[in-house]
This record gives sequence, C-alpha cells and structure tokens, in this order.
Amino acid sequence: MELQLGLALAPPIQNPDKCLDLKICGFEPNEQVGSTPWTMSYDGASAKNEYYVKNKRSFIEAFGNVVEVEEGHTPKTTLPLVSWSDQPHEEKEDNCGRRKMCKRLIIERNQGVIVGWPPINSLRKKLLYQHHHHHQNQHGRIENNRTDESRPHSRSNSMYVKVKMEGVAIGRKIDLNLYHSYQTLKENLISMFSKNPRSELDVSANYTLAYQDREGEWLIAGDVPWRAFINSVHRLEILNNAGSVPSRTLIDEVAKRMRGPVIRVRSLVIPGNPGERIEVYADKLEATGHGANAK
Amino acid sequence: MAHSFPEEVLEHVFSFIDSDKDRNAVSLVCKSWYEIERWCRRKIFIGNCYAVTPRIMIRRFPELRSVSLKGKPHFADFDLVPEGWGGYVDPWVSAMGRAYPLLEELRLKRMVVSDDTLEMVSKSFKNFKVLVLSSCEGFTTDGLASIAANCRNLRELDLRESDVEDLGGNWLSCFPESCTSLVSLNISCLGSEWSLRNLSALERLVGRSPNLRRLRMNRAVPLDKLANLLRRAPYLVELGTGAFSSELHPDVFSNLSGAFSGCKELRALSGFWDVVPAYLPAVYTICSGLTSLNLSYAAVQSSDLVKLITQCQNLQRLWVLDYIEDSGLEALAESCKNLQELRVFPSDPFAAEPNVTLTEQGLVAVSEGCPKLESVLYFCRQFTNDALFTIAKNRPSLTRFRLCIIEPRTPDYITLEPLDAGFGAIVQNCKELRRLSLSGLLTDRVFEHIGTHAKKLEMLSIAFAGDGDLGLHHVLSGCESLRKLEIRDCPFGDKALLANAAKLETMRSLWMSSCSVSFEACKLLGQKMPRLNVEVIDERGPPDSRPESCPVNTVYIYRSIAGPRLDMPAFVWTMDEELALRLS
Repeated sequence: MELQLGLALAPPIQNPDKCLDLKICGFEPNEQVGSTPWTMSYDGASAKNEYYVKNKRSFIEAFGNVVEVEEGHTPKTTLPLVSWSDQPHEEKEDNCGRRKMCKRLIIERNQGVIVGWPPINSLRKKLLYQHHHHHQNQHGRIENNRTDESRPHSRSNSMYVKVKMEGVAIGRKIDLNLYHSYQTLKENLISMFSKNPRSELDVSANYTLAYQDREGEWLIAGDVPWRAFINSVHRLEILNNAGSVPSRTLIDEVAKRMRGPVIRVRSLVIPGNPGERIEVYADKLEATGHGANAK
Repeated sequence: MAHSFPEEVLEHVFSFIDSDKDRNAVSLVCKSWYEIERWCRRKIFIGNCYAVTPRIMIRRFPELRSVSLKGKPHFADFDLVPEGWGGYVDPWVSAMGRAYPLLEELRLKRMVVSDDTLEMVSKSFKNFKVLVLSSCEGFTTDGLASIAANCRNLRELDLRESDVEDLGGNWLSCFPESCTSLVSLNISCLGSEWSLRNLSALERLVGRSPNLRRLRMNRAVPLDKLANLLRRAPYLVELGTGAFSSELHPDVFSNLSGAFSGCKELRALSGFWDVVPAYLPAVYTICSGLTSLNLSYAAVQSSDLVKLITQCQNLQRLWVLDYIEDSGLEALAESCKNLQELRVFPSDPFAAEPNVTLTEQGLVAVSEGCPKLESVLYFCRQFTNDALFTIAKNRPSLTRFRLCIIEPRTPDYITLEPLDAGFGAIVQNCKELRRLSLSGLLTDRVFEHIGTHAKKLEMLSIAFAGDGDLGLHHVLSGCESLRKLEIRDCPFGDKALLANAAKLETMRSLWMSSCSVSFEACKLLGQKMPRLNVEVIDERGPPDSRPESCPVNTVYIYRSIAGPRLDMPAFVWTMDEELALRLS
C-alpha cells in the first residue's frame, strides 16, 4: 500500500496579474482557506502528481527510498498521536492528508530520518554521539571517540559522506543510512548527478563506484558486505568507465598523502574487480612523504 | 546649507557615527552628504552575500577596512541546504584584494572558504588584523598555516564552529616568533587529537602573546597542560578549556586550582569536554567574577552542575545541557539574579523516552526568579499553554524566545490542545520580541496572534505547524519588522505567498522547504518581482520536468540588487525569466 499525501495543489492561475494581489481577488482574512478554487482534485492528471507529491517530503524521498506504510500500521505508543478531529477550518481532504502526513512523520521518526530535526547543528550532533559512546563504555576516559572528525555522525540519525563525480565540479553529501545495497546506492548517485536521468549514457554499467576508507586507501566498492562498507567508508567517488581522467579529489588525495603537489598523474588503473586497489601512477615534486597508492 | 561646513569637518563628525542604520540615514540627507559618507565609511555588514555584488560594494564604498558577510541560509546548520549550494567567498576576496589593500577585518558566517582564499587573504592585506570564520567550511589547516605565517599583525583568529579539515601539519608553529600581537584565538572546533608538537607550539604562542585576552582551545588540549597555559596568560578574560578530564591526582588538581585563582580577569568560561566532575571545583575561585558560562558540552549530573552554578552570582549567560534538570534550573533561579540569557540543549534528543527530568517547570522557575532574563533557547519534550502564559506574564522583557519541543506537533500535554494560546500570550506580552521559534502542535490561530501582536519581530522560525495559507498570510501581512522567515514542513502554499509578494522585498529572505508552494507560483514570483531572487532547490531534477502545479521541495527567496546568481549548482534553479531563457 502506498502512502498518499493529500496536499493542496494549486490549479493553473487564470489571471496572473490579478491574483498577485489577493486583495483584488477578494481574499478576506476570514475566508476559510481550503475552499475553492484551491482544493485538491483527483483527476487523471493528478495520479502522476501524487507520485511526485509523495516524493517531495524531504530530500530523503528524492533518492527513492520512500517510506511505505501499511494501512493498518499503528505508530509506537511512546510517540504522541495527535488528534486531528478539532480542526474546524480544514477541508475534508486536507484533514485526511495531514493525518497521513502525521503518520508518515511518526514512521519516519521511528526510523530516525527527519532531516534536520531537532534543530541541532552538526558539531553538537557529533558530540552527542561521542557522549553516548562514552557512557556506554563506562570508562573514565573517552574510549570510542575515533569517529572521523570531518564526518558528522549522529547516533541514530544520519551518516553523511561526501560524494564527487568525475567531471562534475560540485560534490554532494549523502546520508548512507538511507541505502541498504550497493545497487541502490550507485543508481541513486548516478541519477543524482546526471543532468538527464533518462539518457542512455547514464546507465549504472558505465560507472564505477570508488570509495576511500578510513586508512585513506581508495578501493572499488562492492566486495565487502554492506555493513562493513558502511563502517569504513569515508568518501565516495563515481568514476566514468569511458574516460579515465582522474578527478580532482583523487589527485588532491594523492598529493596530500605525498605531502606535496603532484605534477602529473600519468595514469589511473581501475581494477576490474571490487576490492582491488586503484593504482595511481604519478610524478611528484618531492621524494619525501609516503603514499600507499603512489608509484 | 550643505556648504556651510567644509567636507573635512563633516567627515570628522561622521567618524563618530558607528551604527549602520545611522550611517545609512546620514547618506540619505543630500547628495553631498551621501558622497562624503561613502568615502569615509570603514565598516560594512552584508547579511546575504547574494544581495549585492563585490563590484557594487566597492564602487560605493571605496575605503572599507572591515567587511562582514553571511552566505548560506540559517537552515544550512541543520543539513537542509545541500552541499554545493553556494556561499563562496572567493570572488569577494579576489575583488577586495585589488580594491582594499588596507583591509583589516573579515568576518564570515556560513560561507565556503578555500585554502587558496585564505592564502589570498594572508597575502593581499598587509595590515590584516581580524579573521572570524563562523560556521564556515571548505578549508584545511594548510589554509590556517598561510594566515599564521603571513599576517604580521594578526590580532584575532576565531574559527567558531567551522568545519576545518585537519591535515595533521603543525600550523600553529607557522606563527613567526616575532608575532606577539594576538588578542583572541578560538580554535575550539578543531580536532581532538593533537601531537605534542602542536601542544608545545600552542604553549609557545600563548607565552609570547602578552595581549592575549580570549583563548578557546580544542578538545585535544589535555587538562594537565591547562595550568601551564593559564600561568602564561593570567590576564585572560575568556577561556575555553580543552578536555577537562584526567586521572584523578591531587597534584594536578591543586596545580589547576592555583592557576585558575591567578586569572583574576576571567569573565567567561567554556569548553569542558569530557568533564570529570571531581575537577570542576578547580574553577571555584573565579566563579564570582564569571558573567558567561558554557557547559553545553559537559555531560555532568545536575548536582555537580548546581554546585558550580550557584557560585556564579554574577552570571549573565548560561549554556547548559538538559542534565541540569528542573531542579537545577530552580537553583539557578535562586542564585543568579543577573541572568540574561539561558540556553538548554538536549543531551539525547533521539531517544524515544526522556532521559532527564527537564520539563516546562524548569523554564517557568527561571522566568520567575531571573528578572533580567531576555533570551531563551530551550529544548524539552513537553510543554503547556499555562506554562507559556506564566512565562509571558513574568518576563515581558523577553527579546528572543526559542522553544523546541523535540517531538513535532506535540500538544499541551495536560489539555491536549494546540499551543496557540500560549505562544499568543508570549507575543502579546513581550512587546520587544525580536526573535521567535515555534514548536509543538500549532494551528493557524497562533499565526493570527503573531501577525496581530509581534510588531517588532525580526526573525521567525516555523516547523510542522499551521493549517493552510491563512497562517502564512497572517505573518506576512502583520509582522511589520519581519526580516527573516524560515519555514519547513508546513502546509503553506501559493496563495499567501503571491498575495504578499511586495512584502518579500522588505525582508532579507524567506525559506520554505517541504511546504506546498508550486513551481508555477515560484515562476510567477520570479518573473513579476525583478528585485527578488527566487530560487528553487530540488534534487529530483528540473522543476519543469513535472507538472507546474507540483510543489517544489524548497524555495528560497531573497531581495537582491545583484540579479540572479551565476554560481548555482545543478539542483538550484532561478525563476528569473531572462536568465532561465538565456541558460536553456
């Protein structure tokens, strides 16, 4: 059963100039909002609307990981289920929609995926996570605060890692908790980055997903079990199988590890099998420093 | 009339006028005052870096010494703005590098700063003194090394809450031995692992900075080093400790206690990561002088917190975790009669059950006992309309009130009603209220109250509230002083937005995410209002690949004389008709 959100969708505006100022249109503050013409219409066209409406709740839904709710699902008793019965100004359909929206939020809450709520910044969330590890370990000193400082990591909520795609200047940050397999991750990443999602070029097979683990090694994603991958991944990069121009990220990483600028990356060998290391052949300015991938 | 005073005299008079508002008023008197004023303005604050371009700023104010810029919208703090959205400071620094060689101060908030930019700052401005990077990102300790190495007269380096990538170098040692000008250093956001080389670099730096008055360290600085640092900087006014834990050892304790008692100027304390409660008494000797105490990283029980806080009778600001509980807040209300600002943060917001007894009672107690209270940020799990009535009645002087009930749409837990009336009382009684954040179960009625009474309100944050467009209409049509409005997950749609389009030009910005604003309305707004930038953020792909009536994920609207920006990433679309046509 798919969860349907009932949200007021506006019909096409007949007379844009007039309606810009609702006072001209006769908008009275006392008027019940939700009466015509701003009601929802369930005609044929809106069947598609509902799909998109469903997908609009938060950035999470954009990645296709829609929360599906059974009709008979009851939320946890610890969370307050709000009664909607005394909302006098509501349109019947809106009422229904909001109850479902509320349910959905509760479900989301159970899975800990309301983005950005409660409103605590990432620095504080990181520390909350570390506090909890401290208490759990029951030692005098902090045992397990070795979470990556550059990755905000809150306890049950989100696990953001940076993702870059070869050839795309601007990277993204994604929440790995939303995925459960390499397949879904890769597909969603590719559709996120590609300009034309329906293009033939943006097929999963044309791309390789690489990741940098905690030790700084760059590996092809796919060999270790998903859970192990989640625990060790630090950063992701999508490589285009067609052209092997190493991205800025890889070059920067190699440069950092060798403690100096890399003047030329000669070639990049992407192994065919997951789990094999990517080998970077590069000329460096200094002989000092060490980088496991540099040869 | 304008000729009766020579320019130099007017300029001298203007030099006493500091506030931006006054300066702006001066510049409107007549053309010659405008001209004189613009040549002698030294400081500028730009609340939205996309509202104006560097070129426009430089053209009007050719002699600035201090520039403050803000980039991303506030909700970026809560991961609601995708990475790559914008807020790059680089074009500003490039332009200023050429135009303002005498620039002394740069203050940035929520902007993307690169190491290259930092290097450019360090080399372009010979007299650079103050760098404040608040909630910024995109740079590493290498960038900091450039600043340290090249800014000969650096007075202030403040990295508050920025996301800095630690590359493991020893950037602190890049401050030359001859650098003795530091007054303020805040590196509290840096990592928790440091080598001995970093620590000794810090000690040496502190030791040769006789003017150092504000020092906020990061977690990596261990407690046993703190005493030495304090002895090198006994004139500190503000201190942020590192980790406040150590093996319990009487020597360490007495050493620390002695060091603290030598710091007679200390007024503000923060840090306190990993606190071992037994060490808290080391600060008792300076408690009576403290005006500001930030214990919001201290996971310590209420009784230990109370023992510390009750010694700070002059406390004006307290930030603390909800471990303090209602009982601790009651003790606070008894002891700290000068309290002006209270922030209570959640220690475990994601747990299903409350882990502490912190309820509306605590805040009510503080509102009763602290007559000077004006600023509140309070995270808790339950509230009542009655409690809000009481708080409003007790403290009509409130200027900032942010209540966050952790579970969205939580009603009054006794009556099960919405909290409309309670918040209504707040806006009605607190006539000087400038900032308000709402939570709990709320209908359109609360917005009616806000629109009617909150005439001085400048910033309003709304989440999971309201019934429909009427709510938004009340706010936009009623709140005369509104500058920033941020809304998430509310059923507000096109009607109110379009009806109040003109209002948006009087505000800095409006953020609406996960609401019911259609693509069509965004387009209409963008086309009809040339001085507004209407940007749609949607990671599902281009908004025109869906029906026009389909709601957009996020719309961010801000006034601008710069026109639509050109550095938008793939998931942001401008609704400016011309640009959209040009780019398509």
